[in-house]
Amino acid sequence: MAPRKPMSTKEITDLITKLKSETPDYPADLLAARKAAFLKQAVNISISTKGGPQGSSGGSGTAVGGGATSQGILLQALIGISVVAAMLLAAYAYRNQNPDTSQGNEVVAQENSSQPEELSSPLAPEFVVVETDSLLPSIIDPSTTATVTPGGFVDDSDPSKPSVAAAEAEKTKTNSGLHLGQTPGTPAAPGQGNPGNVNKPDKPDKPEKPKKEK
Amino acid sequence: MTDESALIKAAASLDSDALATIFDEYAPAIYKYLLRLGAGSQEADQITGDVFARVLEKFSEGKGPRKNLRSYLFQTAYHLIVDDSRDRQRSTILDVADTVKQDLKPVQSVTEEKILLEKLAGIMERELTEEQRNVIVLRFQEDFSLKETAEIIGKNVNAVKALQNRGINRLREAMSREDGGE
Repeated sequence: MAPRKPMSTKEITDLITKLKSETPDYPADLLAARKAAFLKQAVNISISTKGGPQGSSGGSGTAVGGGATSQGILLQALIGISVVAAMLLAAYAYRNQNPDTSQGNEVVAQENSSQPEELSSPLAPEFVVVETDSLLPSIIDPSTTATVTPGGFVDDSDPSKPSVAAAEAEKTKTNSGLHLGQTPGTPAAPGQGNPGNVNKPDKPDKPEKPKKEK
Repeated sequence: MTDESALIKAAASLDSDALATIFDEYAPAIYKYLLRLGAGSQEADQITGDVFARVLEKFSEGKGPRKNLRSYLFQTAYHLIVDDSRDRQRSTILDVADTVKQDLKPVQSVTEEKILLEKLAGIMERELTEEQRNVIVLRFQEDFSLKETAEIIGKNVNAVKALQNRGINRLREAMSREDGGE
């Protein structure tokens, strides 16, 4: 059998065209299912675009959305301004009522100041009990005077010496700049440490520890 | 042409009747085109659905084709199958040949032309590059013009001509080689 002649371009293209008819068709069930899914998807997209601010009517929808946004900003600004105005009015009214409230505070302060003696705190004012000779029993020497502080401190000293309370009162009058409850320290000698704070006493030198013998 | 423009305009506004008309007209052709490019039946069905879903997406964004809808659909299908074949490493390369073999009539009625067609389908799958096969399918099986084919595959007309000529020459050589080998 003699070999066939080489095919021409026309023969090849004709064969390719005939091959077209050999391709199977789209199965009907698959085609129907695809079409149903496609149309359902179209309906969903149509609903979402028409219901939202974007889509086929996106021009007007976007414009409406933008207007609503600017209106919202204006509304928020108005609410903020009204809140600030209400706060200012409340502050003004409170300022008018302030004298009444300050009087009430004074009353409260007076009530509080009437009971300092009941406090046992060291910050409470100190009082002095001086026992006279008539009240002392005969066992106790009448020449001695007992000074009792609320903290239980008893100072047996010369009656000519001013009491601790009086000394504290004098220090308060001089206003040394100390805080309440802060005790003045010994000022440091010139040339010694801590020159910046004269009220703070220098730490005492630590005793040297004896070296351990090995 | 005016009818197509009106149809596209109605479909772009997501009109259900227009979309159904477009699907009925082009979905079977897209499916066959995908089979001819080497897709399996399931893959062709899936990609056909993806093609129309993408068109819907474009229409909903106010984009999509304004004319020549058929070229647009085939172009979308081509891009999708190229992406898909890259992912699958061309695992279904012989499906078309197998499909053609399955669809041929029983042996009793097989003619010489049927044998030639079967041989040609196998050679197209084995010998041609992806671009050559695509150009030949679009030009001689889908009846697209050179310009339309160039638009679909994203090349110029001269490149399409070159791909077409090289593909046909390779087919002719392969057919002659196989005939001589018999």
